[in-house]
Amino acid sequence: MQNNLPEEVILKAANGDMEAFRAVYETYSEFVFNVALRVARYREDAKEITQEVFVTVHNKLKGFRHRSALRTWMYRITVNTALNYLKKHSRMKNKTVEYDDALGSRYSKDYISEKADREHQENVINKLLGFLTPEQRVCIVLRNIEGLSYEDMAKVLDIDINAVRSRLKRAREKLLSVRKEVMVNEL
Amino acid sequence: MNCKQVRNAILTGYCEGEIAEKDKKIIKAHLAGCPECREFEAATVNSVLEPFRGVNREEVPSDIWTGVHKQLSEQPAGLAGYLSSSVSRLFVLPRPALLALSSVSVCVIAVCLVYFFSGAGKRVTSAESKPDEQMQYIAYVMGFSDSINGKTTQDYTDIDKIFSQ
Repeated sequence: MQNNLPEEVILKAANGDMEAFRAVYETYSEFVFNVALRVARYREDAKEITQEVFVTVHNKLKGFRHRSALRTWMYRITVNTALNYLKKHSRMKNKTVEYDDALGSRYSKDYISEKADREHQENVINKLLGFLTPEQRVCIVLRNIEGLSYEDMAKVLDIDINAVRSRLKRAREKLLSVRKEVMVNEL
Repeated sequence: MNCKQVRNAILTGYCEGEIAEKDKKIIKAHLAGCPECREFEAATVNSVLEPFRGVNREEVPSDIWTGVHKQLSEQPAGLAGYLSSSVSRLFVLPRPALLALSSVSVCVIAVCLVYFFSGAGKRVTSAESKPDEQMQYIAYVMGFSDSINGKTTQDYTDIDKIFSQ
């Protein structure tokens, strides 16, 4: 993963230059917000997480050692902030129930349609992710949506590549089992 | 490779090209002769990979930056800010540096403890020797001995002699 910003801008931001930090925000806020949104699944939660991520980045940027790409470092902060946020607010249990209830009624019918529009795809993705634990969701988001390589995922999650495969396998098995349930419901 | 191994590989890299070339060939050969695994591959692609392809990316709401800016400007400045950032910087030190710093701290604390306890020990020793000195002095005053703590009267100054008589 490459940094999209020149090194001097990052250094200026690290030294408290607000204009440079704004440039960091403009460059990286899109993926931070989208990862937060997929992991937390609610816009307001994603906004809070994104805000918290950038405050953390601002406070820790001076200690950033450039051993990894800034993007990788920011992915790590985003994932950790999102998971901590969900733990702290622990609302996801109720939300998962909401999705389970919705499964039999809307999800199966929606999924039959081959000509799914964006809204429909959003619903499907949101519902699929709703069946996963936050940790499994992070794996699917980083790989399937953000397109990170297994190696980059290992760096972001600070685990080895075999652990990445193992987590991804469990998450995908869960998605497959959910899909099976949906197929049964359709029949 | 058996069916279980092939299915694991399908879930973790085969469909995405994140697999060694030689393993890819072995799996392809297995799939050619195994309809169940082919079905599993199709299910994986349709329900695990396809739904996420070309997913819409949301625009960042404009009020997030306002919130970030506000929160940063409300952070403690001056000494408190400096201290908190210094402490937080300590925790982002690379592991070897943090380890070295911890080792030095432990050594310093250990040296301080040894120094403190050995000094206290000396004080205890001197306190314990006091009764001996007192006994020798009493013996000298009562005429049982002509020396105090190994010193004879010749060793004392004039003032000592005045007080010892």
